[in-house]
Amino acid sequence: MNYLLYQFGCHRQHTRSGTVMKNILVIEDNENMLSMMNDLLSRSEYHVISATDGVAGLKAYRTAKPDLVITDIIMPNKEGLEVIMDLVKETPRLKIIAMSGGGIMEPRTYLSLAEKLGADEIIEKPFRPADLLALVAKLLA
Amino acid sequence: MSKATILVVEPDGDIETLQLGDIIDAPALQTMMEDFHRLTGFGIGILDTEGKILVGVGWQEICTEFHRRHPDTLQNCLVNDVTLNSDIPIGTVKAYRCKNNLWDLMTPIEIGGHHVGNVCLGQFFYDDETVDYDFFRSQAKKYGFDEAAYLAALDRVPRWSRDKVAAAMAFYTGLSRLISTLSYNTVKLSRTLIEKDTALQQLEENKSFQTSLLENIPIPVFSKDTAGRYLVCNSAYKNFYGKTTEQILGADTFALHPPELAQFYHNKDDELFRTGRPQVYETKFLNFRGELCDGIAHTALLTDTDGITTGLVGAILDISERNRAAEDKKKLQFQLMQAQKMEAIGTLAGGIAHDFNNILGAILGYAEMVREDSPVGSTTARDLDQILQAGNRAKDLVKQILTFSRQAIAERIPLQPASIIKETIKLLRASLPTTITILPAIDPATAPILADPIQIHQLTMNLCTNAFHAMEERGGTLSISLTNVDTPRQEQLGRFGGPAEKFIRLSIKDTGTGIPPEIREKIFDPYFTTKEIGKGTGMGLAIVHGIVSSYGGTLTYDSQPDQGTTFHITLPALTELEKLAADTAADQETKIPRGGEHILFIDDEEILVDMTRTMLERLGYHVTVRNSSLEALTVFQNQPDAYDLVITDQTMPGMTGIDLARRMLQIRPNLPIILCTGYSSLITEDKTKAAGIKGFALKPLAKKNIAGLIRKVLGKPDSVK
Repeated sequence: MNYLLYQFGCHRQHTRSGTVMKNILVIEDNENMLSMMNDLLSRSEYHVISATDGVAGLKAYRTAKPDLVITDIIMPNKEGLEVIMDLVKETPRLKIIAMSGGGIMEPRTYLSLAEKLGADEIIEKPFRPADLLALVAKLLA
Repeated sequence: MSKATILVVEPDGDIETLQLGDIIDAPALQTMMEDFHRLTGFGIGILDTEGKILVGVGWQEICTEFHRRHPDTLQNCLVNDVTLNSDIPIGTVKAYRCKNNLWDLMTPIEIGGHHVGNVCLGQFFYDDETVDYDFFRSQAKKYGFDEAAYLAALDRVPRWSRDKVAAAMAFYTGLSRLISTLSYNTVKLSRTLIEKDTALQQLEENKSFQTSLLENIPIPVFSKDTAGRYLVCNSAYKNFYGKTTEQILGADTFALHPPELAQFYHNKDDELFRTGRPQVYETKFLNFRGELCDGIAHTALLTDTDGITTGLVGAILDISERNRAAEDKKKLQFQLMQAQKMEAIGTLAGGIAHDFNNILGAILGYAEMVREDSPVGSTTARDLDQILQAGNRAKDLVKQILTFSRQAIAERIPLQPASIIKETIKLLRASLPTTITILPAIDPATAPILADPIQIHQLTMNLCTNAFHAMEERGGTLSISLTNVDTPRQEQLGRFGGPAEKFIRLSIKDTGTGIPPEIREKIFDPYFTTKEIGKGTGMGLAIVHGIVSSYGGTLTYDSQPDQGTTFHITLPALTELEKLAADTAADQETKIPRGGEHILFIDDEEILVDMTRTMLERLGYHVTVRNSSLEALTVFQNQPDAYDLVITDQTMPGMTGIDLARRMLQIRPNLPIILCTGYSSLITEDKTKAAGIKGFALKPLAKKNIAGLIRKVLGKPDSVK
């Protein structure tokens, strides 16, 4: 599955209440998770751009320049920690949420690394939708 | 050395070469016969087979002055002496007229069947015969003898009666026999004596060899007589039992060994004496240290040269080391297998967890979203709640699997296990039904350990949960004890391979159904469970085992069907070195902020109160302590402004920490309060924040953490008065 590009540059959509929609890039290799987050964030009137690995994610970022990036850690091709490092280098003020379900190590191990590398917030999978939305709202406030 | 001596000394010496002169005491016989001659007038000659005169008494002048002086007549004598003396049967007399015309009588001497010489009576005439003077005159003329002197000598030759001669010869025959016998016996006796000496010497050498051999054999060797009394034992035997020779030799089996063992050995010895078959059997031995050792005994009969049983001989092989080594090897192999299993599971679990969490994330996420859209109280809402509940259980399960499968380097700190266990017990009291009686026996002086408090809590909870499940149907008693142990029940290897000095033991006992023998090997396997679905994942004991192993401790249990099970966790106590290292590390990591404020500290646990007060005072604070929330509230009400900070435990009888905090905040809003709690999930950081409590700390309070938290909650940096 390839990434979806936000094709029209900086053109932004609007919410029902008329405010400008914020753009969120979600980088996640699991299609179920990606689909769920897409639906979740869209329902809360965010515009979601998706990518399924780190390489695609960075490309998507450079093209779409989202307001917030939510990235998984363990992914094929380029994993989340490297993505965070690259993003922070490019745009130091970019808001980043790192998420992880763990692997050989516990999620919090990966996530504490992510924090040290520049993620603003971290969240363990599986998370409650409300918790994620709270973090997004906090960072985009 | 004379030939006789050589002959006698050499056992194989040929007695045939023996010469008469070698064995008779010629001088003594000479003297004796001289006396005899004086008495009787009878002379004697004892000659060897070569004609050598060994004893000569009463030689006639005619022989000595004439016949034996002229070479020709001498030759006649010698011929007579030698050639005429053979083939005379022992005990008989041969009479012959010598070539010089005198009578000679001869009887042989034999030794050992060999003719070695003769006894002779000679140089006489019978009194009833006429002497032929003409012969002698012609002899004189022939050989140039002085005739007058020669004939005068002839006249002096004795003339005896035949009876007298016969009597004399009978005497000489007896004498000859006597000489023969005595000589032979002397030779034989001497030979026997020498042989005996040689044999004795050899015996001594053999004995010396045997003793040396026995003493140098490194395994215990012994012998007993037929009555079971010890005859011989080597040093290895003495050392094994720590007894002296005097204590062992002469004592019997029952005097030396404890009754049961002695009876066993005795029965075995009896069997040996009865059947005669050498025995090899495994048995136990009580060594000098009072340790029961495993060994193999080898015994066999001792018999004399006639084949009569005189006793038994035995040797003991101590195979305790071998058995211990085999046990250790088995244990290590098992541990290795477990470790390999764990590694495999860990890898698998890690891989699964990652995907699982993603999938769960999607399921739970969508379920929540739909739930949000569903009318409150609707069937859909209720159904979705079920999905969410199940999904959350799945989430916990994944966490548990991962915790178990990883050897997570959890943070280990020096802690008092007593305090954690007590916290856990409080939680249990709250969550277990009243059909379960909880009996704690926590020694407050239990040594500190280096551990992750979460893991210790987890261990205790897992074992207590299992105990509860075993007693769920009929109720029962859950006994939890914590104590120091100096010598653990099984041999322990310390974490660094050497013997650890001190240990603590946590024992959890239930009065439930017990663990059936057929599942005992499986209980530590992950996922093995005897419980129904929903009542446990089967991870508990596997997790406990994994954690305990990682601490270098041991997990053992005793179980009796329908009586209950006791699990024992033995963990190494904090060593001085570790304590020092931990303190140093802690101090060095960050500069620990200090302060001088007045803290009101509340906890119902005596030990914790003392410990924490000391810790806070060391940080420079002035500390007031109270053991009950009610007391604390009263004291605070009297002087609400006296305290800069309140630190309170959550789980207390009467009023919980949160309740106390709320009351205090009613009196003085914005009062800085820190709530301390153990690993109960009932209170979270969020809840405490919601109650207006500014700080939240997990027990046991680590110095570095609490110091920092205090400064944060007070909103002031480090302040040193």
